[in-house]
Amino acid sequence: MKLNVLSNSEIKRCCKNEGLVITIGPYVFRIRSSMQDIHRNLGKLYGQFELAKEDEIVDFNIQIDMPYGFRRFYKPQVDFKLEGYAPFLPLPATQAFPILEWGMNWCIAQHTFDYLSIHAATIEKNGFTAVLPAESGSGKSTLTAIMVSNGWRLLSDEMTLISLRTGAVSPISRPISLKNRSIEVVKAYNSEAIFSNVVSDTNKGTIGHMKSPDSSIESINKTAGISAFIFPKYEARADCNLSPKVKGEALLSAIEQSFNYDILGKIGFKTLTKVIEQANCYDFKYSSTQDAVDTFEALAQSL
Amino acid sequence: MDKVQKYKCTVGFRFNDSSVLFCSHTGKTHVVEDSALELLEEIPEEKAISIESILHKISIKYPHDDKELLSQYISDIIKSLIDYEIISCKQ
Repeated sequence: MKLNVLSNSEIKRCCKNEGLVITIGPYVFRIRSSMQDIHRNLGKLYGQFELAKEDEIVDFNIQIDMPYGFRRFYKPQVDFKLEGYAPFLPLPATQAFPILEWGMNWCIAQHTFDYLSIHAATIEKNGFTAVLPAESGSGKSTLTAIMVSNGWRLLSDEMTLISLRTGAVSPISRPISLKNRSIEVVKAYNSEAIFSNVVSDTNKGTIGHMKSPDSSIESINKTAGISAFIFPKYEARADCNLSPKVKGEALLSAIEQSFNYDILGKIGFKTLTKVIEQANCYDFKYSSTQDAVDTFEALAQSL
Repeated sequence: MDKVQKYKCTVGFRFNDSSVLFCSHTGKTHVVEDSALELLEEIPEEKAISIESILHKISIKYPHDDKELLSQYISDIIKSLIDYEIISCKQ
């Protein structure tokens, strides 16, 4: 049963009581909150996700609520709690949905040991799967939003999970996190895209989350072998340039972007070496979204 | 006489006259130059061997190189490998 079978008032009731239990790829999240922003945005962006069955084991019990005391009324704040523990300092209450998204990223990054997790987006078309590892601010999410607006499947925006057993990517297909000017760029590019409410003055600037395509969420259980590692970098006025990257350098760059490489040890090294060995590796510099789309389409067709 | 022994290491890709190497002892990943990798190939994992014997083996491979410079170069690499805990050193 999908979350979109619930009415807004049912989502609200669930969140306020037993919690909304959603399956997101290999994980099950229970989300409790009495905040309207959370109910509204969950309904808007997570409608296509499956509600977990009653007997499923919940991986992460999350609560997003305003703390007790005077801060509930004076400059209200919001707390993220996992199993009752608050790993972050509270944020202004207007940032309730962003803190839920960041907290879910943190849950996966801190507790995943059967996947190599990399700060990377992953998109797929016609069997061509590209992993896009990148530092924050490199334009990875903007590029991802543009590509999924062109019919590419979204496997992940923020965090790519590579199976230690098979080397394939397990999709999580959660909303795409966009910052600052890129929100308007993507809205102008894809007028049909559905967004969360846009929140300004976060520590990352203005934040908005774009809903994943329904087709990506429907194929969330379909893993994908990696065809290419592409390291994107947006640079104003730069010529579009896709250049092969030496595999040793690609390995080091991917290690730098990994959340749990140091914890996994040898199996992390072996997994990453194996998947990079089998994939093509590129550096990709761009300034025009259309050039980026053309480059990726050509790659997908050349497979 | 000092003896050295290699910890279990896995070599990944080679690039730019270097290789990516994973050391199981520390769990760290290193980029080592080809010369260091060549030296590592002379150091066994299963038993410690004297630095003297390594110097001897390498000097046979490079008979035309200046012995004193080669010895200094190898000693420096061994020191670095010990510092990074890729090899161990014992008396």
